[in-house]
Amino acid sequence: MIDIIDLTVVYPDGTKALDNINLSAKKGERIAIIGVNGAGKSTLLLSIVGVVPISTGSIGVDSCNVTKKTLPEIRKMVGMVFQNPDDQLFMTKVYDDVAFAPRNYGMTEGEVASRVESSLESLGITHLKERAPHRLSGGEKRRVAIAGVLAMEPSVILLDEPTSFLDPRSRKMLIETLAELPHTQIIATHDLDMVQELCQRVIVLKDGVIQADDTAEIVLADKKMLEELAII
Amino acid sequence: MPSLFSAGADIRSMESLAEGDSVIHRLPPMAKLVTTLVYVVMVVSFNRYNLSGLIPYAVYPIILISLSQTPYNMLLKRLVIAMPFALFGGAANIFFDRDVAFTIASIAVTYGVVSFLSIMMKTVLTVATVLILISTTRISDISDSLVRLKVPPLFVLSLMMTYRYISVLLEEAGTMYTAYSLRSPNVKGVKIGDMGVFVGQLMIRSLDRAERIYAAMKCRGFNSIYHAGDSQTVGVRYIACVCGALLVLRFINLSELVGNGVLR
Ligand SMILES: Nc1ncnc2c1ncn2[C@@H]1O[C@H](COP(=O)(O)OP(=O)(O)O)[C@@H](O)[C@H]1O
Ligand SMILES: [Mg+2]
Repeated sequence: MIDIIDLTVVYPDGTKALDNINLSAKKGERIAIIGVNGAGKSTLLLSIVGVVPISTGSIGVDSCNVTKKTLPEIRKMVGMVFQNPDDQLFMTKVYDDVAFAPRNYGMTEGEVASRVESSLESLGITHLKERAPHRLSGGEKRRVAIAGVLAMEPSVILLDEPTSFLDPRSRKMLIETLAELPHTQIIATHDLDMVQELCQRVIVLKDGVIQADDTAEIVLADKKMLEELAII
Repeated sequence: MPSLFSAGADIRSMESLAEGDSVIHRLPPMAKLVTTLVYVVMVVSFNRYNLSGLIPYAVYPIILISLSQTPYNMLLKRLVIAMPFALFGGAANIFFDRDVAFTIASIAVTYGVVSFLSIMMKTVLTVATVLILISTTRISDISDSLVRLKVPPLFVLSLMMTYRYISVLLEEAGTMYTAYSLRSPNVKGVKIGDMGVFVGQLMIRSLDRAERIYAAMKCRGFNSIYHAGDSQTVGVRYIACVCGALLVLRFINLSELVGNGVLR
């Protein structure tokens, strides 16, 4: 599904955010990326959708390489949920925000409506569709942001710290929702409890380098490493 | 700086008004938009000495206000913001246009005064009607109607984005100001010396934020085109009735007719 080979990302100011990353994700897998602030988690997700340019190496999604030319195609297959929902929700009505991607892809209003309805329904927020996104609670905003991505019907969803800014109740509901989605998911997070509940596989990043890549059971049991990396 | 908060709160209070429910709220957005545009054009087109013809035009916003239950103190507050511009422009007329138009109880009223009054009246009427449109119709519905009226989608998009980014800017400013004032409890507002850093930081933060918003839009297939939603009802009958009445009042001076009738 996703194949990352020898990926290095250097920001224009010279910061090497990712260093020789190799990683492949199978269809339907839920993978957690953990690591302290600045480890490179967001950069990794952003490079898959081409927001951050690749310095060297390559990223392939379903045997389509991420290049400037293929970005429209890649972004149709890979949905990105940004860390701060306020950066993502910008329409003045929930319905229109979720309809944003389908409309951009030139669907008829009939198709748009059915996409919007089904994404809202799978997140349990049909009742919010007439509301103004920026006046919702944190948990509701997060759901709307995810619905907006689901409406593209991507096969992969990337989530950047999806449980940040959430109260325990909304957090729990969100985890349950994510567990029900059939999509391949790559989740950057600090939330180890969520990782335990949700992810089969965990990748540990430090200073842009992969420190471990194994099943959740094994990685989460390795308290010594997690402590050394200041993750717990 | 605290006025930034109230500006943010203002935008929000207008928005929440638009979420309300009344006969006016339920009118098709297209009907409200078209009648408002026609109204504004008509009012502006009046000859500047034609004060009496304008008077019947005040009926329309008054009907809208009462039917939509728009709180008039909110309208007044915003009207006051627009008044200085009209006052300034209108006052010039009083000095330059000194021919006597008519006399009331041996007080000579100059054409300058008449045109000053008509400028003020035009401002109040048009601003009030536009404010009522905004406080009874969601921005998203207004933009959809604009696209359907063949206003270039790029223009409509920039309108929406401006609207969105104003709130972003205010939010960032609010957060920064809170953080600033918590650490400088004895300062009222922002010290002049810190102003440069404050504004610079605000710019950087807003730009960062704008960049992230843009990236997120790109990730959802955005290609610089605004796509309007499904076409809603237009409200042809409402448009026809209101615009018809406005046209009649534009060319038949009701005040004069009534006045003449009374005098006779
Ligand atoms: N736009 C940018 N320009 C320069 N450096 C950046 C930029 N974004 C992130 N970085 C740097 O890249 C590194 C990885 O950041 P990031 O991917 O955001 O980490 P994480 O999401 O794990 O907290 C950090 O050292 C950070 O300072
Ligand atoms: Mg991050």
